[in-house]
Amino acid sequence: MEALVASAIGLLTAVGIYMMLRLRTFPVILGLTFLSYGVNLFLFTSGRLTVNAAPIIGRTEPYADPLPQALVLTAIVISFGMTAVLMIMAIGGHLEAGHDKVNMSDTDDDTPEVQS
Amino acid sequence: MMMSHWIIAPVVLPALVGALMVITMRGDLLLQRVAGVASTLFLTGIALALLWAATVHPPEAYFLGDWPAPFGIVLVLDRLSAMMVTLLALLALAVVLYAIGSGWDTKGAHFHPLLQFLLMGIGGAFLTGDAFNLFVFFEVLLIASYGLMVHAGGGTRTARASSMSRSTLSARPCSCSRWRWSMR
Amino acid sequence: MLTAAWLVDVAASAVTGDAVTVKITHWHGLEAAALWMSLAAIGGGLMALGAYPRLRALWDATPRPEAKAIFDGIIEPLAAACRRLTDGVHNASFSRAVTVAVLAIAGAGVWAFSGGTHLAGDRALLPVTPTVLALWAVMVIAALALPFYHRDRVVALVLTGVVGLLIAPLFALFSAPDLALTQISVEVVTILLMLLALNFLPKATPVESAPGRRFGDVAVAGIAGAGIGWLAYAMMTRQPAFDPISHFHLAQSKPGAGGTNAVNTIIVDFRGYDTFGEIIVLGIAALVIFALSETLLRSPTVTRRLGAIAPVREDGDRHPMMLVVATRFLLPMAMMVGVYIYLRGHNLPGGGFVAGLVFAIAYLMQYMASGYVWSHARQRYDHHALIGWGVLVSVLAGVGAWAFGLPFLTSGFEYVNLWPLEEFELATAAIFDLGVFLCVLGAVLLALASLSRLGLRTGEDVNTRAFDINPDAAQAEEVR
Repeated sequence: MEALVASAIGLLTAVGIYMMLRLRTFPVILGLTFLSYGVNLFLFTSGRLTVNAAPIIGRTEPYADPLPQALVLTAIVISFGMTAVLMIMAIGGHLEAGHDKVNMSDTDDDTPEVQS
Repeated sequence: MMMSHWIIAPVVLPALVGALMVITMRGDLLLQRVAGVASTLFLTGIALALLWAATVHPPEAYFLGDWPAPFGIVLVLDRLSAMMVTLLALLALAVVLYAIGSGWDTKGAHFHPLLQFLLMGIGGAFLTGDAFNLFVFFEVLLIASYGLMVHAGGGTRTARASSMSRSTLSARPCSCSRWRWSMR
Repeated sequence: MLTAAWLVDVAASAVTGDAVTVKITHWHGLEAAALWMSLAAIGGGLMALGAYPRLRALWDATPRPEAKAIFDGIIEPLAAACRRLTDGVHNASFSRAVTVAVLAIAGAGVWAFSGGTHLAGDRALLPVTPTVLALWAVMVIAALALPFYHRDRVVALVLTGVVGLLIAPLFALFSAPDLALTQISVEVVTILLMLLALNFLPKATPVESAPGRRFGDVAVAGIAGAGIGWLAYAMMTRQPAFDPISHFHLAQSKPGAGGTNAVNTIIVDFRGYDTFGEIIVLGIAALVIFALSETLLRSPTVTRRLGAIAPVREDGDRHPMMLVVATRFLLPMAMMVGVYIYLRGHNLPGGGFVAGLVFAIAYLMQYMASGYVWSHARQRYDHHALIGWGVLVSVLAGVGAWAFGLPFLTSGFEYVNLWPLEEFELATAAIFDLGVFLCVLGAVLLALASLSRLGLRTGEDVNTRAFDINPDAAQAEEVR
């Protein structure tokens, strides 16, 4: 089971990085979302994998480590906030500049009105 | 001792004022300005008092939630953190007065609450004695500073605004993925 | 009494602990060495004073190091070198910065790994179950499909949603029900947000990079993925190097923090101060989004471009009556579920974060079904105020502990017997969790409402009724 989860983490990270290397804002944000899936899973697994051991006191005796779970829980919610801020910035950049390219080129900085 | 709860005041005060600004003072810039200056002045007073307390007393720990140190979160007041908070308060006073004087706070929504939350983040980062909590307050101060950075970014000149929003956008995923990697 | 001997006596006696009596005299006679030394010093001083102009001229003429010149001489070349390095590395290309960062991190990892010794993992592995295998297979297919089909952005969004939703059952299977609930509700909200954002962005990504460059990107991504996957595997097959500190949290969860859900007690009690910071981050994010959308709406270029976005109509019914009616029935039920999740959070999976997201989704369904303007006009309270109240309530929950002489955010709980009910618990942590709930709800709604406000400026017409068909008019038609 560990190998499955580890390969899933690796794949999510790889897809995330690949998408972050695209040249438009939307794929970059999707890539960041994938990267945060991978990182959240990775941090969750730092408590090691356990089955049928939810950290609810009084159920079963071996409990999963609650600390990584608590930290990842807030991380999931915060990553929504981050994605939302990035989205509005991407929209703002697109509407202000007329294109949604990620990389700045020195040439078109002075001519923002590419086309309307 | 006098400073038992005052150590948390540089975090609680701006959060309280920021929340009150968002609830009651939306659309009333004058009230926001008065509250912002008053809060920053009060913060300066608290910081100076903390500085005095840190000079005459040995470093002191404050156990949040009354939990022992490695399991809960602890704040530490020593001379360095007190000096940094004082520096923060004095700089903030200059910034808020300049923003009001130059009219920069009129150029976008929510300038004053964002500034208060920024102060909260920086103060919290200086006072904390817990590594994970340091990153939490870094998040607070970073997102508030990004908000202030793109504050009124557009509108004046498209060229500057677009290049600025694009450069910010380029910087953003990099820094926020760096947080993710480093902190969680 | 003319001398200070009495004072010296007192001080010296206090320090040594014995009675000390000193004898101080002002004139020791001509034979004392001190007199001649003093006279020699005064004479030397007078001679030096006389020779001062010549000495001064000599000093001025002597070459000596100038601190400012030395400082500038060191700093200037360093600054120039830094500028050259920055200009060389940073060419305003985000992709290049990411590539360099990924490769540097991977290189550091390899260097650290090769620099030390390590033992093989000895932790017992879990057997593979068909459920996890099936989840894994679907997730792998969806994730691998993304790089191939991402040019159609709606398809890319669907694939992202598939992967995100599959992570929730993974969390549930590996004993993290709280994470599963959070992941599933956050995923719904994130996909809604991205769908909304796609209104203002191009719907397709053009082919821009050459095949060679794409191959390079695949290599960089592969290195990163292989590294992190291998690291995760190495970590999972080994025991922790140190005993986890969470034994304390598990042991104290019920007696100390008054809740049986250890994850929730960590969030609202043990590390409540972290959560306090996190909800403020979420609130700030929403305020930033609102401020930025406000700024965008003020810019003439932006409003012109927004107006040029043509409405895309794929079918005639924008607000289907069935959907509107169904979501209205769902609203109170979803709220009931939200309240239930909030109330049980301290003892069972749930809590303020999930409850806030459930409430937010219940409202977002109204926005989707009946349209932004119609729904917003019927909302009595303000999203900004929700965020503010959330922060305020959590601050008050923390400050309340001061009244009992306890530190910020210390929680207390009491078991209450109230007749027809069973014994139940009242905890101050629930007040803090209420702040979390309000802040999350307000932040999600404000973020999506800010995006919707941009949509009002597009070429699309705004509906004033909840659904496109007017039932009264239709009935009148029938009667006639």
